[in-house]
Amino acid sequence: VVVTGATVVTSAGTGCEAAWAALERGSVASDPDAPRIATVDYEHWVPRKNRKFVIPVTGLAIGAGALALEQSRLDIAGFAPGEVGVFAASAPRHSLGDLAARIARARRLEGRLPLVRSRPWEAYQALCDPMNLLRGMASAPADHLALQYGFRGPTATFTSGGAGAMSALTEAARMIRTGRQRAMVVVASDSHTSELRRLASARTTQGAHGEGTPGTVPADGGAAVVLESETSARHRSAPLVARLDRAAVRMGRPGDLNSALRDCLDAVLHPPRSGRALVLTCANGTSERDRAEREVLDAYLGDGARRYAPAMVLGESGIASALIAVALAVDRLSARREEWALVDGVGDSGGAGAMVLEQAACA
Amino acid sequence: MGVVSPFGCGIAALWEGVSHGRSAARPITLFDAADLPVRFACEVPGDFPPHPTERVSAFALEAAQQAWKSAGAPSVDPRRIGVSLAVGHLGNEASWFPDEVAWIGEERPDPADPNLIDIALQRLLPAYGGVESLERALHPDGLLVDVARACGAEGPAAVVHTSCPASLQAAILAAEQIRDGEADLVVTGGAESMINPVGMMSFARMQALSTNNEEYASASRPFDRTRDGFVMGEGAGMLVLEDFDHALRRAAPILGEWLGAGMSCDAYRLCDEHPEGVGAVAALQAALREAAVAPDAIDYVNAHGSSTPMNDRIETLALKAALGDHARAVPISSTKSMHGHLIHAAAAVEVIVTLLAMRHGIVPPTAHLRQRDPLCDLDYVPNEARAARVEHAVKTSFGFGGINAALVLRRHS
Repeated sequence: VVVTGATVVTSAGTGCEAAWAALERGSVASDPDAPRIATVDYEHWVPRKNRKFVIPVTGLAIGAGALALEQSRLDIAGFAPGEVGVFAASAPRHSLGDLAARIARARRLEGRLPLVRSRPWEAYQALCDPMNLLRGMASAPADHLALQYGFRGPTATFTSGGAGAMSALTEAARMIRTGRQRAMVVVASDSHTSELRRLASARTTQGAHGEGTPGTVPADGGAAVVLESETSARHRSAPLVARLDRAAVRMGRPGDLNSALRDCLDAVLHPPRSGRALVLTCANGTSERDRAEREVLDAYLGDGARRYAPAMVLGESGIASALIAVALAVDRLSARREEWALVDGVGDSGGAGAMVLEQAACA
Repeated sequence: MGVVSPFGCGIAALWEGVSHGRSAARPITLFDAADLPVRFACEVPGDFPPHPTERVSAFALEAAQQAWKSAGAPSVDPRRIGVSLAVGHLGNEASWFPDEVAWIGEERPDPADPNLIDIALQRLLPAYGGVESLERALHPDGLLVDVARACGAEGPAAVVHTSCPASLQAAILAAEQIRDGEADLVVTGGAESMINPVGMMSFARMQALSTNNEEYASASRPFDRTRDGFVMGEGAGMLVLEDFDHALRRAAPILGEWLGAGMSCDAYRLCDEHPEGVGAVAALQAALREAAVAPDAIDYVNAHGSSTPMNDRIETLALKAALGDHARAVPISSTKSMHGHLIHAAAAVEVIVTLLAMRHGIVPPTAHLRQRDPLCDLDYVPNEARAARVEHAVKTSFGFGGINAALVLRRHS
């Protein structure tokens, strides 16, 4: 399975170059506590009639998907429509943020909360507008991309927390490896910058992040990776920007914070690898989790590989974070800076994912 | 397999209901629905918590425990056991809207206060027992953890959320994990509870629900000329999929064989299915191809049969296109006519019904099918179950916006 396109939309801007520049620099904003807002002009890729269905967080995935597809030069005309599918990692909390905003708007308009069930049916009408449901559905990014590009392969949306993007990538790669699909577009987006989300993250959002200072900085983010069978990519002279070697997602053992990550590394780092390596960790400023992750990575990799923690600079963008890291790794591999890369993702629930990517020769 | 259905807890209750053509629809008791345009649903009876988020978790856990027990509670390396689930999220969203929110009236802040959301949520947090519980309500993977712990699973894990076919998609991913050597067993299925004000009203406003409040018991009438939408259901269905050789080695109770599956997307419109069912046909053909089963070997189709005017007509077209002449001969039924539409749990529960049909040699009926629709002209097993030897069966699942999945099963002998 090879990667033929990958990009990110982060608080540093659109594209991997901007994100890497921020990572190398070590910061993106003058205020280290400021939420990392990301935007992309998604309307450019969404037909006018469908724009009313897109909320900004969905737009991050659509924009990233469109740019990755451009890089990949994947044109459905060269495929049977069912040969390309879309897997997305997306979170229901998108719509929760949207709903909360609407609660506020409704209250400002009416001076009361029109949501208590003792109220008459009419009071619910605006809240339950089908348009809001369509906008807020977690599956919206995958639905829009499939529709926009005419992809009739499987579409599915993964919502399993921090490891959700790893699940989407792992299962998409499996679809190709087992011969079910010729190509899969994997996208993710999330927004932690809404008032709702920031409050819900209050337990961990405690201040400026950094070594020894607990707390994440909430961020928006989107990413996309185009996976394809190597045979297909070579056949159509697509850019082979990286090869996905191994991927795993595991649940882990209760009470053992890092058992899932260890199980994943057992799966993807066997046999042990050598050569110049890059590691993109999921450290985000949450002391306990970061420390545990670091211990596992130290045990498996020593200190030979260069490590970056995108969420420490770009901010924590939840379910999108792992795919952002994968896209950034792909970018470095395509520039032949390192020979292989390890990316991990750990969810709040203890599940984890890990992936090894390596350089791919040009077609 | 394990199930919590509107007929109650357990496989026996579900089979008793669907094999006798009974309706589980009844007036809503979970909240006061007096002012709603739709005042009935297929609620799960029994002592389950009323709060939507807790309700989904309780359903999932109960069904998973049943499934694990029925699989013989196998003693396997936990890292070789996976979990792949479909979980609805509108239950989570709806958790913001019940009466807990009404506290605001007690000490009403200034509606123009720019910090209103913060104030509202800070006051709301105690209702959830603090931030951790709130986080849990926002994270469907909390349920994944519950199910994994109940079954001792430490292997591959995924939660999918893709409308009606989600639990079949989750099962297809599970089967792929087993075929790919990632796991020996995977606990898979779905859980759902949208019988809450927001869930009911949202689907009512989409005109997806039947509004036949007077004849609620027979309101779900798939393929009938007078059908006007589905009846909301709730519950959970869980299956334990296992590598065939692994199951044989441990003398597991094999309930059926998974032969092949297909998934597709119509890529037609955001809300509508393709009028000719191109995606549905593709999913069916892919499933048959992978199963290496000829269309005329299919003995039963458990249809998606949602009772919406659009789905049932298009599904009929798709079955004709995929099965050819055999579509007119094969018995097809929609058990949603009895247990309602369980959304994210629907396909898993209906796969269980299909396995039970194979086991018992009885095809459950499509209940309340009285007036033929000229556009739905196949054998839908109207109103009464039928004895039939079912060697190969198809399960279809088609969803909002043209997401499709199909499965071919074989009776194990």
